[in-house]
Amino acid sequence: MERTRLMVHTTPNRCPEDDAHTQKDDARSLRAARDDLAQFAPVYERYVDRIYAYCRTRVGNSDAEDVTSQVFTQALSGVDGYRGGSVAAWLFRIAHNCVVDHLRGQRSTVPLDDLEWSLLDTGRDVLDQIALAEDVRRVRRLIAELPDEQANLLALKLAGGLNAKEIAAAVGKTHVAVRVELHRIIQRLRVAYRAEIGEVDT
Amino acid sequence: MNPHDNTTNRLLRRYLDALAADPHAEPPAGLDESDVALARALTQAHHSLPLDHAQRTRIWTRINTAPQPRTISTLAPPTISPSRNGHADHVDYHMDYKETETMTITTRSWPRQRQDSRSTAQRGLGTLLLVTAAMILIVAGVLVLRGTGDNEPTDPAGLPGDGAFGANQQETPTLDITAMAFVQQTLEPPAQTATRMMADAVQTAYAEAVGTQVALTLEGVVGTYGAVVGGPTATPTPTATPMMAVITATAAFGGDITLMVPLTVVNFSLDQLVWSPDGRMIAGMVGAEVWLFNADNPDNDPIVLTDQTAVTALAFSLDGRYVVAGHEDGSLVWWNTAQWLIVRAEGLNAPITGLAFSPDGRTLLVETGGEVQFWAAP
Repeated sequence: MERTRLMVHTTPNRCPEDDAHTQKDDARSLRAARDDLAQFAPVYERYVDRIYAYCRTRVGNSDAEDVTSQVFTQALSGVDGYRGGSVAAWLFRIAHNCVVDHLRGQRSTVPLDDLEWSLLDTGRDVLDQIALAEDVRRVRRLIAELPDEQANLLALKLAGGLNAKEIAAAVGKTHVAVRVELHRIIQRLRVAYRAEIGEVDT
Repeated sequence: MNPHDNTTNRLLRRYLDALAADPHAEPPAGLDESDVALARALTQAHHSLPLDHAQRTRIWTRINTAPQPRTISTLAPPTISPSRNGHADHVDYHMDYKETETMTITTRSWPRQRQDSRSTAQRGLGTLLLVTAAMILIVAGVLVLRGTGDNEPTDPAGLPGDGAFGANQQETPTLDITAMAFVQQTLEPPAQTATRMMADAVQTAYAEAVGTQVALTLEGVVGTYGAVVGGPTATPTPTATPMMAVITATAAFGGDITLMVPLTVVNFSLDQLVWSPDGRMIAGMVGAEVWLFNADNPDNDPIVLTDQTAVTALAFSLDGRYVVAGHEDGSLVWWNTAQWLIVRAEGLNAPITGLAFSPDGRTLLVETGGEVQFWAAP
């Protein structure tokens, strides 16, 4: 099977308009929201998909909307506490705490078999889609076996679209520590994935 | 392919970044079929479809109907904490970007400013030496600038401290700046209150000196802060490779902005550098090596201490007798500064991500694998 030609039909987690100008706009909107809460709307519009993707990865489909709304509610009520810097990092720090609160006292309820077939590129060969779906299930199993902290870092990076500095700001670590940890996570997943598909390490 | 291969791991991480930006990104050469499949499955496993209008509206309605205001503990005021190894990235930051699209900037020579900062730093601010130095420099820069009575400096020769940088204004070098130490922004009416800016919010800073024009672009997690274009200025000479330079920018609306920017030294960034307690040396991490620069003359050949695996944390003992290096593989290595020999080595189970000596110098805090261990200093 020509796996290298497998394509998924997705929108990037990191918005292409994530440029400096927009970041400045976000910071400006947050400050304006201190006096006029309606000014928060552009920030919500820009980040809700990424926050939702992160929450969905961490808490599952059924609770993702609820936790997402908690994130923005807290962000809105705490907008006075925004001290500048990356708006994304600030929001994901709140999201991280909301997710931790949500998961506290319960195991993650993310089902492993709820792959949304609609995510897959319908323009691709059916066999390719099946192969990708199987890979995704396999990877989800592997992620479920990761320590929660590692799964969280992975979700912040891949679902939230954050870079190491933003992740560091969100979880209260140094970016060096985050980079080292991401390195270890990828290495661990590579080893586990190869073992899953029966590939012998060389 | 060996899954423990760091190079391939890096390629895979790069490919994951590429997929995040473009789901149809082609894999880089060097990744085999399994790695490509893993990267795509990982990306897909974390992906969600964009919310539809009904979902967005539903969530927005919940937000608007939630009781307000609420206090959240996660947004405590930023603090400066002399934790771990005193790296700049341990300093939480304030940043209040003002609408300063266009600023005139000029440069000041590093050596004169550095002497000022070192004399202050040596008065005992411990592991925050570097950050303190940055702050002192910034204040000094602002004061000197104001002392000239010129908020929009146009003649570099008239500015104190131009020294080395102002020697040849006809040169058109390019300076790569890899990290930003500190940014101080002092705004005057009609701008709002003075604000402090970030310590580590900026990942990279890039400055170009072209003719008599200097453009400064700061890029990082909060994006580009704005192009700073102005001149004529003293032109930094790339061969001088000072550890730091102060770039003073004047906002278009009259406020002063002082930017403190470390220039490239073998691609170090600030979070990789630590001062020795006596201020005579600067240690930096480069892969599996520790580089030690003479602080008075960092252009001289550094002392290079080589080990097996990547150095991830550094600290000087308070008496200056040891440099302690934490490594990616969990090894904790003590080098003595007299002969530069390893005098002690420990093996920990996880990468070491932070090191800090206690104020009395007797205990070393080692952050590893999400926990902090206490080690007795020799």
